[in-house]
Amino acid sequence: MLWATIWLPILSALALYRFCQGRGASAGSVAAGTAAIGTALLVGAGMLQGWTGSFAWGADIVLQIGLEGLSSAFALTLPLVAALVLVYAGVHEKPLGRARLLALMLGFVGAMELLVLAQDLLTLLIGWELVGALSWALIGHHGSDARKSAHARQAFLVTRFGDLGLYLAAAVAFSQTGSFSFEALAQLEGQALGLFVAGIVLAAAAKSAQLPFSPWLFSAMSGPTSASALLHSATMVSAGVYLIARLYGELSAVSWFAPLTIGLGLATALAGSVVAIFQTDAKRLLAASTSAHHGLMWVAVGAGYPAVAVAHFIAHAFLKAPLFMAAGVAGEYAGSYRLTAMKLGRVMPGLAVAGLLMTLALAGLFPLGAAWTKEAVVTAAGHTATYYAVITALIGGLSAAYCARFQLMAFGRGPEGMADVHKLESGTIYSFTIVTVALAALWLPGSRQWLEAMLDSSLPAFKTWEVLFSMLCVVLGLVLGRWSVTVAEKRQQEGPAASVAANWFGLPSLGRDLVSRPCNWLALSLASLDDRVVDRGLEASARLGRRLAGWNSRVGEWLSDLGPEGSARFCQNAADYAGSRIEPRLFDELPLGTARVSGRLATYVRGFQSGMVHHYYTIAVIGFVTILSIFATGELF
Amino acid sequence: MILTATLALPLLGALVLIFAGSWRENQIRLFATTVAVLPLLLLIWAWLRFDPNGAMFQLVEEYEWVPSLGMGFRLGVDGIALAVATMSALLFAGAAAYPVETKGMARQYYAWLLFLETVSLGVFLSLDLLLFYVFFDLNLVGMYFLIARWGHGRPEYSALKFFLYTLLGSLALLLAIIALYLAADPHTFDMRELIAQQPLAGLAPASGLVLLGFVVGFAIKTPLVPFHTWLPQAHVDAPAPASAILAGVLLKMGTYGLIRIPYSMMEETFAQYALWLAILAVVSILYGALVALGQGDMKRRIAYTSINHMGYTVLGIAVAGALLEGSEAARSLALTGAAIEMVAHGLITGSLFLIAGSFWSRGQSYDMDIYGGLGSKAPKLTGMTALAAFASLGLPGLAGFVAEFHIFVGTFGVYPWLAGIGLLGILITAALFLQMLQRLFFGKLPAQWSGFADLHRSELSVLLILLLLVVVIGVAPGFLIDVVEQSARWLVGGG
Repeated sequence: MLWATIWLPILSALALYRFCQGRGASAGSVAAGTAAIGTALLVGAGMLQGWTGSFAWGADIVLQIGLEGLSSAFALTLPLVAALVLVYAGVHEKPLGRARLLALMLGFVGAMELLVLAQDLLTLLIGWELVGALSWALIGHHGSDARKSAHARQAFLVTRFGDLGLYLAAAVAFSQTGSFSFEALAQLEGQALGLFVAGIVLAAAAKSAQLPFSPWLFSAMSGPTSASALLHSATMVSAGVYLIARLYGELSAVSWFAPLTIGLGLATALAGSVVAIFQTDAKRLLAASTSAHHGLMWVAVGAGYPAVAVAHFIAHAFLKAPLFMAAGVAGEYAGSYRLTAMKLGRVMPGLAVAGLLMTLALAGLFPLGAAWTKEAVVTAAGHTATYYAVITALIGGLSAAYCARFQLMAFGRGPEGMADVHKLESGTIYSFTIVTVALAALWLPGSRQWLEAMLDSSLPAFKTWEVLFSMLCVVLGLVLGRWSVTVAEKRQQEGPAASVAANWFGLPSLGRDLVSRPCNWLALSLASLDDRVVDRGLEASARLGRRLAGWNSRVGEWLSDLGPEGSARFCQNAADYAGSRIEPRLFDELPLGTARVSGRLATYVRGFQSGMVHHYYTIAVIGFVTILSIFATGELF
Repeated sequence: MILTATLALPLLGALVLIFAGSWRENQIRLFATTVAVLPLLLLIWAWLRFDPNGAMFQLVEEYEWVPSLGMGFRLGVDGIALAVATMSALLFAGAAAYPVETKGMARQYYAWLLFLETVSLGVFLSLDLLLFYVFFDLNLVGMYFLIARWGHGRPEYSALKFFLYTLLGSLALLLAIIALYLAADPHTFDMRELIAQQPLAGLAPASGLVLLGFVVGFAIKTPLVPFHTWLPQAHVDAPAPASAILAGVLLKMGTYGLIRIPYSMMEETFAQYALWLAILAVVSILYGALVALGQGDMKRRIAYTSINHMGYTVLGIAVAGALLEGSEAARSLALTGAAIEMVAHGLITGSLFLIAGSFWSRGQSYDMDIYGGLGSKAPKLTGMTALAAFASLGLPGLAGFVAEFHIFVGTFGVYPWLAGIGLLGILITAALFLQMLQRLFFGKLPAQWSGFADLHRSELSVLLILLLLVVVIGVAPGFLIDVVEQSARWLVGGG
């Protein structure tokens, strides 16, 4: 029954593509939203009833799905976020290709559910790669711009490079345990376990845009806004976090897992925050922030609290999606996503208020829910080492800085105007805002116990000084952000250092120069090598054969009456004769069949005259001699 | 009688066409398609009667032919042969139904196609070594004429190159077959007998040479690098359905032959050299993918990906044959994967070549750079191409993934390093197919294609059937794995 959770969105996607083409905007919205809500209800029912599913491919390979603490949280958050994003997409996106876009996004939900419900590595891999391919289709959605499809390809290739890690991990698991199931992973040890963990970490890092893979998220910005909203909140990027959280028990058996994960997470969070601070494009700023916040989730997992990562994921999902959606509405009005062109606070005051609440939540300001989950990350990091907590809190300050910058530039007080915002666009954003505000309940006493029970694992207890220090960082960060806006307004022009920082410190061009260019060069050189050398060798031997054949025929003249060539020639002459003399006559006189057969034979035999016969003949002679000699020495065997 | 009928019907159809002078082209195509569907139906019936847990070879038919030589008309299938033969029959039916320019010689064209069907299926259904060889060689004749007479570009040159090169392979094969025959006691061409006897076991230098003969013969047919240069040229100049058959059916004869003959009949020698074969396969995987990435001609690009995919198949076979290393489960997984790859590649690459043919019939060119922006103009063509391309790059949910995942996991259990290197191939194929899709369907539509027609009903229906099967195998491969797996176990377990 649990399979329905996956099939419902996928089949509705197909139906939607088939039937909603050319229909009005809200039809698609309603249909897609309903399908997503239905998926959420199925997940809920599955949690209550304890549904599981399995599907055998062969004797050794069985696909299994099920729900446990962590996966339930993901599986439920996903369709709820997706429902609102889909409703928004139905009215926000251009009518051309809208049905296709909605269908792809719904299919995306199905693939992501498969990934989250998977109880074995093969099922996980299937969902994992499907998500990647669908994101390619989403990013390259408006195909008339060739740059977009190049970006889509880049995003897919980077994440697929990570996928190789998952292939590797699955193969290691099977070779050691004879199965792909998560349960059997406990048997892994030694070198095999190390390889397994390395594969998983590679796959997860690429998917959740950790360093050095982070820049693909920028390429992903070429896609429609609603696709970004979905990719950055509850799907795709969070798949990486889900994976390391889900398999934490097995992964943490390796001593280098914790320092590696914390290190990667902190580095990405730091770099991503700096990138966001210098970004002037609204969507890219949010994208860098996605990398950074997923870095924080990595820190939480590395510190031994996967449940904290899940909690932060949920809070982040419910605020990042609407921020993208709001940026989409703002960008639509402003004509571009450049922050300097916005300042729409008086044009769309409602959205400005919603944006304010959500940016403050993203900044981690008490008493919003996302602040609670971020404090949980700080505390978790502090459980490993105090300086980790300090660094995490400082990164939180940077996060506050770009949040302030985003809000002030996008929705600050600017000139008045009238924007045509669809009711469903603003409605969905407000709904998200309500959830984000409601999450403030996490600060209430007793919420921790409830969350622990819900996620089925323990959460760290806050330390007062850490929370106070962290809040101080947030406030300072907000001030810093305010100041940076003033500076930017005065200076107009960005310095070169800032634009390098804004573009992931040159990492994308490094990837281009080190990987994709050499690879293309290699492909082109090999292709010409293949034509010039490998094939030329063949041509040369053919020429040699021709020469041999020529020699052979000169010598053959001599023996023509005795040798096999004589008989071959005789056959040819006979056939020639048949072809030129008998065949036409037969055609005239016997209209039926046999004539045609002989005619066909004649043309066939005549074909041998065109020089080809020499080759054929030479080969046949060599073959014949060899066969004879083998027969003669047959006793050998 | 099922298998004999399977072989006889297309041949009869070809004979009828020779005498059918007054038929119109439409009638001829309809007739040929109908005849081509019959073997498919028969093989599906055979599939239903096949008991995966029964004897290794089933549906056996045997008639004496040249008893003094130990040769007989022997037919029969194991799971792998049945799967590959059924896929081939489907592809032939699709190739017959796909519209093609017959240059006013429809009768001859379809007669050759049906002749080719008989001799192709014969290769997979034979249980007699000599019969296998006869069918194997007759294929060249059928394909030679299809390319030379109905091709474009330099068809005669390409066809001749194809013919001579693969004939050279056949020669090596013939020598090896004769050696195997002579070593058997009593002399026989009966495959079952030869498998049971393992005639060359323990005859060290000679058996190595015989293996070399088989491997060279089948490596040319498959083709493996560096024996592959006949392939791209033949593909580019062949008419689309012939190309689909060439890639989908004829190439499989190389890998199927590897399993049926050297793998089964010379286990010990095969195991000894398995690592070398596996290395050659990995070279093919990477080289094929990289060279494909460097092609600007879509048909050449698809042709080179065949080298990549057939490399995976050979890798699976080599790994399974490495008797002395690795667990039985891993090796059986690899061989199952190789068999599924044969079926998957046939369907997927067959579809891709048919699609390339649709491009040719609309634009008279395979150069990807002159197309572009067709996504909005021809959505059906775009959808089908994208589906086939993603299947070919091994996307889960589609058939190629099932095969490659099996092969990869199996290989990892035996030669982990080779598995790791070979895995890079799926990254390069992803790059090259996405680039192809981008060049054909994205960007601005050039003015000259403003009248570009989407897929016609007859094209679409063939592609839909082939690709639907690709999806079915990708999602629920159980029915295929059931049939193949037990045979793979037999082969891996040594009987």
